[in-house]
Amino acid sequence: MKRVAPLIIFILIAVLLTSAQKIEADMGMGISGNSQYIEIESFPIFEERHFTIYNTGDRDALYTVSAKGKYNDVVSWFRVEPTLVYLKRGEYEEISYSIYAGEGYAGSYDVDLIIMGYEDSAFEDVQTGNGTGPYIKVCGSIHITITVSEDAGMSSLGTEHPSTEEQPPDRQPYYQEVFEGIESSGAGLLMDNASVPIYVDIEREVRAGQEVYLDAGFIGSEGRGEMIITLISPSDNTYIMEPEQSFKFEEEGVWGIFISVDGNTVLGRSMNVAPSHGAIGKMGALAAFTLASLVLLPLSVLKIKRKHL
Amino acid sequence: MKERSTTILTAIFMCMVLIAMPLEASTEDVDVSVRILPMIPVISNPTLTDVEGEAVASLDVAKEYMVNFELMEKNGIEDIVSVSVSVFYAGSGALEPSLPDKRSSYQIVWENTGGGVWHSYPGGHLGTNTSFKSISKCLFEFSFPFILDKVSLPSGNVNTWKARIEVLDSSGYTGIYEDILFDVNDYVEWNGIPTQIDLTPIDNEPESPWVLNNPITIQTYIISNTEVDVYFRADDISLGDASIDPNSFFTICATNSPLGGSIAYGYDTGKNVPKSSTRIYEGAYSSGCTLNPSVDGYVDNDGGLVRFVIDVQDGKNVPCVPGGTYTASWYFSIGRGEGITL
Repeated sequence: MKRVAPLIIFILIAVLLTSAQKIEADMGMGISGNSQYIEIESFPIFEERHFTIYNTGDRDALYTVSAKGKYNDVVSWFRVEPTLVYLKRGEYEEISYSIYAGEGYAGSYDVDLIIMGYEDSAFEDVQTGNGTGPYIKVCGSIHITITVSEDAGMSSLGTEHPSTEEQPPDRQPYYQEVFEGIESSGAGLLMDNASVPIYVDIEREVRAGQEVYLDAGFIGSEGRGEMIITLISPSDNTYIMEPEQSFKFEEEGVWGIFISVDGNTVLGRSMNVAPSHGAIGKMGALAAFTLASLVLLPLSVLKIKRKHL
Repeated sequence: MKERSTTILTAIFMCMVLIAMPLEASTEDVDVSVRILPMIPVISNPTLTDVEGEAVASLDVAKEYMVNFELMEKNGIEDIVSVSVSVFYAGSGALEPSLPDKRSSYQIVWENTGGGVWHSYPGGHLGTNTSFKSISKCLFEFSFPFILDKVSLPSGNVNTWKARIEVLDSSGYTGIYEDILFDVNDYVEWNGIPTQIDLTPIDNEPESPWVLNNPITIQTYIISNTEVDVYFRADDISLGDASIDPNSFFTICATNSPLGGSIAYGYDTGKNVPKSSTRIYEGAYSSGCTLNPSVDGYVDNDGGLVRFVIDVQDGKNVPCVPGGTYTASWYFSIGRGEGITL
């Protein structure tokens, strides 16, 4: 019954502010699943597993799942479905993942499936007065250890894995690229510190069939990079968009919106697409426009404001 | 004429009486009885599924699952007193269920009164998809839904949970099926994560004493079915090229002792915040993972408190750095402990 590796790790990125801003939210995450130990005696192999994510906080939240490991070819053996889920408070969803290895090198490899939570509260309550606001993420992981025997390696690619510098770049899966800002350590999974002040001005409630201008960008000249907006429909269809484009939301239900900068997902939020019943009245449109507030969101997580130094 | 009519009517009346009477007069009473023996109820086709009907062998806590089966009772459903499903941790397979508790032993009961009444022991773990159907006068179909608590004992690699079906009829006969084996997965949850930690604005001049108005208290709650370790790491607080080394200015102190665990050396009174991920609590709630909740001292690992206090080190002065808003990342993480579960 003895186990060695930490199974599930949460990371709180705490916010320290000098201002009196106060956000009332209780973040939480639960993960049910076991560490996996997979031994490969010969190639190819195919394994399927699953785990469950719970939204135990008191806000609706978006969750992403990605695979992370030292060697790209080993990470590329993993397929996760779904990689993005939207959970209302109290809900849970089962995540399936499979491992297909057609060939490989002998050795022992560690891969973490990283779950990151993005709560809507960060957008609902953040203050915009000084251009900054607190933002906290919560993360968890499932750890998988894969051991390829000497015989299996010898009859496949070899008994010694090439160094990471020699890895072919095209073996890197999409979901690893998205989360390349996350690094692994002996004690857990740590997220790179990043500070990219951005603004997002996207309505939270629209009608089916409504075309929405995806207004997002950087504040000032700092922190510029490639910004991508990923839209996830209620039926899990994914649309990759660039900022300052329009998108017609046809599917009713709750959509997930993720914004990434240079491959790092920096925030997530939801949008409710209500049934269409004719054109929205002028008053409704005006109200929707008024409610669409400018959100200023730094990814940085600890702030000390100096009044006099 | 009148006399003749009277005679005819009398004759007709007599005939009617004779017609009505002969069968009764010629039949004898016979006592007939058939003795139907009480039959032993028979359970068949047991399955363990999720609510979608998919067979499962590895269960998550806080999700609904169902034990489904058919029951043959040739004495009819009226003869059934109760049907129960015990869901329990069986160790390597030989353990018997303890008294119902949310750690390792549940019982779902259908009592054959008033059209069937459902219960769970302990309470609150009955699922919503209860089902009883009559397939025929002697064949019935049951679904017993249950929800394991978040502190349910994980089975790990070598142990198992069992579901045992037991039917009791009015003659005292029982039908038993107990070969449903399954695993329960590890579960870790962290709640009450602080949304904001206030650092006192630094109004005093550089090189003057640095004092927080109030120490920073971080208080979170863990729910787990296994023991956990808690780690902390503080990165530099920076603004552009200027930075403040938190290790030189801040301390962190663990202010409560979770059941069964220990506070890493020095952190009970406070140490400089670590710049690499460092274990603060070790093996927290390990005694909460005891198999038998009747063991003295058992406390559910449900809402276990973990509390840190961060403060400025005594005698430290405000650093001489440019004014502005400084940012950094500080990390709190929990992971499964390395100790044994039982």
